[in-house]
Amino acid sequence: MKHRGTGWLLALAAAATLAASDATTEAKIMMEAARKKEVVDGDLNGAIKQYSEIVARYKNDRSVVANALVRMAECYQMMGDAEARKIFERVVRDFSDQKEASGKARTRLGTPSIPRADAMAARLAWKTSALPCCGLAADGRVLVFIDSAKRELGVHDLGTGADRALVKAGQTDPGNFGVAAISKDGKTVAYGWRQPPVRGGVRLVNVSGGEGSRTLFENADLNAVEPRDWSFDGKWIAAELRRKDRTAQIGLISVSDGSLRILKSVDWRGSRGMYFSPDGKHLAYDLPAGDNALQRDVFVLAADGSSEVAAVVDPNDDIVMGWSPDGHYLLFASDRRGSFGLFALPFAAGRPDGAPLPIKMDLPNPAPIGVAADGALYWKSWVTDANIGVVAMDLGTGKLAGQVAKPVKSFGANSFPIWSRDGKNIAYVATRGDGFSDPSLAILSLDSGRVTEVRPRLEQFIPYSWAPDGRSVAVVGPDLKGRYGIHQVDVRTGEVVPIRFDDPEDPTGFFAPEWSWDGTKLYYSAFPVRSGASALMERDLASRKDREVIRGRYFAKQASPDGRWIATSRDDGPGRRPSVVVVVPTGEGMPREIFRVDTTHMVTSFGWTPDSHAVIVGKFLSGNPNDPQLWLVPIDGGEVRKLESPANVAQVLSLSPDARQIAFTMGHFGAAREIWTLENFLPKANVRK
Amino acid sequence: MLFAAIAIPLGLDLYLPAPEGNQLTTEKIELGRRLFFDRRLSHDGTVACASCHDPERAFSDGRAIAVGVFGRRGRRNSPALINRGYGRLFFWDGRITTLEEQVLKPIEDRNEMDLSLSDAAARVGLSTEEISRALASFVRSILSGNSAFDRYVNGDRSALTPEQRAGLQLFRGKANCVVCHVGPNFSDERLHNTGITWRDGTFVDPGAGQGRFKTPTLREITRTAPYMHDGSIDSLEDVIEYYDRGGNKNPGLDSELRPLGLTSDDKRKLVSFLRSLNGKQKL
Repeated sequence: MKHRGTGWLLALAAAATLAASDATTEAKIMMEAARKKEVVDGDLNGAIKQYSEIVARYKNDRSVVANALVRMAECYQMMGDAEARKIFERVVRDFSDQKEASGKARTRLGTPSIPRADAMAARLAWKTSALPCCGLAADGRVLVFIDSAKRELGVHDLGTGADRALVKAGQTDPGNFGVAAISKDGKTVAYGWRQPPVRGGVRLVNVSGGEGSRTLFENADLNAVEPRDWSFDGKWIAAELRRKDRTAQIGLISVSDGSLRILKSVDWRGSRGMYFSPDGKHLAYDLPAGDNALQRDVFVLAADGSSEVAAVVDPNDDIVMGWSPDGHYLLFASDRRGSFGLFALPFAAGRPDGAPLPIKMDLPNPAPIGVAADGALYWKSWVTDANIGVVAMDLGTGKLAGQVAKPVKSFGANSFPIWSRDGKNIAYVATRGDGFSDPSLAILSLDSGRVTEVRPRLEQFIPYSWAPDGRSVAVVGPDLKGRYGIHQVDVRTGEVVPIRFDDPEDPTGFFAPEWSWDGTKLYYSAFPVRSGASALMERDLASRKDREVIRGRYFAKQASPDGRWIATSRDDGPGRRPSVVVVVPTGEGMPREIFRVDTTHMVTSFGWTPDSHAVIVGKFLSGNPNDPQLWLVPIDGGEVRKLESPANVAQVLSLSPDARQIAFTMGHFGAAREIWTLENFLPKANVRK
Repeated sequence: MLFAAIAIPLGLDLYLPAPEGNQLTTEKIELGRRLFFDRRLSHDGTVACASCHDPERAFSDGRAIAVGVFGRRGRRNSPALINRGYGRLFFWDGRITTLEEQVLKPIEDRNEMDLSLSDAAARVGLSTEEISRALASFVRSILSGNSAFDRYVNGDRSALTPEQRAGLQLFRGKANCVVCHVGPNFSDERLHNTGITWRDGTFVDPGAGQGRFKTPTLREITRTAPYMHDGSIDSLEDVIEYYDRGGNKNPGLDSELRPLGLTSDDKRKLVSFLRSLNGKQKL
């Protein structure tokens, strides 16, 4: 018994040891997972959550808790959150027996960049579906925005939350709003105005209203003028000019007489931010690092054009955010630590005066707005939960089969899915930045579930159609030289081969290129602005010759599997929306109308049944894409059937070649922008050196 | 007028880059001007920079291939020295990236001036660095702008004739010239293989490799014939013919080159437009 009893005790001790060992191993694994979340994924909030769980679960293991607390505090520190100081102080106070952890905490508490409890604070100032513009009144109270749906330019009071329209684009004054900037005194808004067919200019409007707008500057050789910032004395507007030769220039427009000084010619893609220094002597902006580079660097140009300094030049993506009110710091966002964070570059005597100071990590998708006189920084961030959804469908019953699957797991927006013709892959656009900036072409393999991404050398693009050989897709968008057109993108290498460019003297919109089934032709819609002679076009890819197939405003397209037809939608009424479905023969014969929707709906996407006998039509309520309907429409006049459609569809649908699955963009695509402000973040004077 | 040293003509950027150690001054520009015309900088005292870069020809020389001391023939055409202050690459093959470095090379080149830099410095009583900075400053001051084209895009819609306006549209559209000849200086400052050097299945002159040469400016173009890096095309009409047929096909031909399908009317309009690129001021 004794032996057995001893054995039992030994076994118990061994089990306890093993359990302790297991717990230690488990804690280590959890710490490693949290560390991975923090360092590899750059998800500081997620890491903090995991460190918190470790602290709670292993509360009796002082070593584990102390280490987790230090890591958690460091995450808060990178986010500029005052919670960091509290946690470091707790570690020093309560875990002095944990020499390494408490030593680290003590060291960190001596670091100037640890915010005090009464210091840095980031808060959401406004969430809007409108497009907030750059520039900020000095009091930080009023922001300019453009409401595309209402075709209005307005101001938003961040204090009261009230919106007020300043200018409405109307029938008597045709044109489109461009970028706008508000004067530092908050009294005047300068906005870009583009008159059809193409004439760029700047107009001024008083915020107090009353007098209407007046043209300050315009030039027929400019596609667009983008006012970016007002000088503090209100005499100059820093603007970016987009010329018809697809170059961009930075210039100053005199507010008194509208004269223009061209300071510098820059890459067509231009800057994301442009800010006068408080003394008015300098202009800071960011530019692409090279002709083919996607990353940006930050430069500071003397406002009289006499000199320029490269302020932030490195392999990372750097975006200028503004100046500190005293002009001692140039603020920029950089992804140098894996994800975007805010940095302050000391600046004196017209040049950088020291190394950048990290201010706040975790600044997702920052698009600059400006800095108010009290030092509060404002930026906007694009909010999206758009992702690819796939659901099975039974054409026989017309019902969906099973739940919607989300086969893509990644952050940012994933949209515009298109099914390859062999049914094995889905191509889509993956964006990580603001809106459509910096898009990648992603290919989801349905066999392996793997996603590969390539970065075509295009400024922006939307994919429309796979080539029949599965090696490339046809996309529409501007290249890095600003040439808008149809391009062929290799899905393995991202190599871009232009198919057709528009003519800058006769701008033409292109839409929905669709490969013929044999791959020899490409069908696309052309919308020439000047002539207005829109048409469905056919390009012979070998001879590069174009042929007008049929005149009219045609939109989405899908080639039939038997190669005989192109299903497409046509604008057929005052609503100027695709409301009629026609099938156009690829050979001889006449187009045939097969389906029509009322004026409140529009047709945005198509699929074919494998036997080419029927078209599956995606129909949406105009202005409310989250209300899809699917209809099965036989092309030879059989019964039209409504099919069950998935909910939460943000964009067009793509049907698998066997017509058994639907891919679509789910969620809210570009539904909102958040305006954030960061206060009390500027380094104190005694911290500078 | 933002620079004390020089006036920037209409159409060019006010910001004229200059390295920190060689900011523009009137004194340096004048010294550089004197050196530019100084034959002592050549081995036998017969050739100055201006011998191949004649101000009357927009700082080119009218020959297909440059001729240096003792009648030695160089390899390439003397490029027009216009608006080089805005340049990023120098020489036809773009092998040099600063004007300060570039201006010394012809002095040393055996087929051009054939003089060691130390001898050059001794002859003019300046250091090599002073020669470099002064010559670079003078070259930076050679600016061409305020052409009919510049006045047109600045708002004077009568500055171009209807034919020239049609030519501008072709230049930016169907003829695709603007893909390389872009910006205020009508050059993307990049290297391209246009096929000029491809003959009998080989690159007669590889340039920067694969037959690539830097895009030259088109400003003052009527004064800088003959054309191309080897001066092999005598007239603007022939240059347009060359590009209309898509250049000489070769393994590295720039993907932007393709047959353009220009009509004779198109070609005449293009030439007419190119004639609008001469500046008003004397260079």
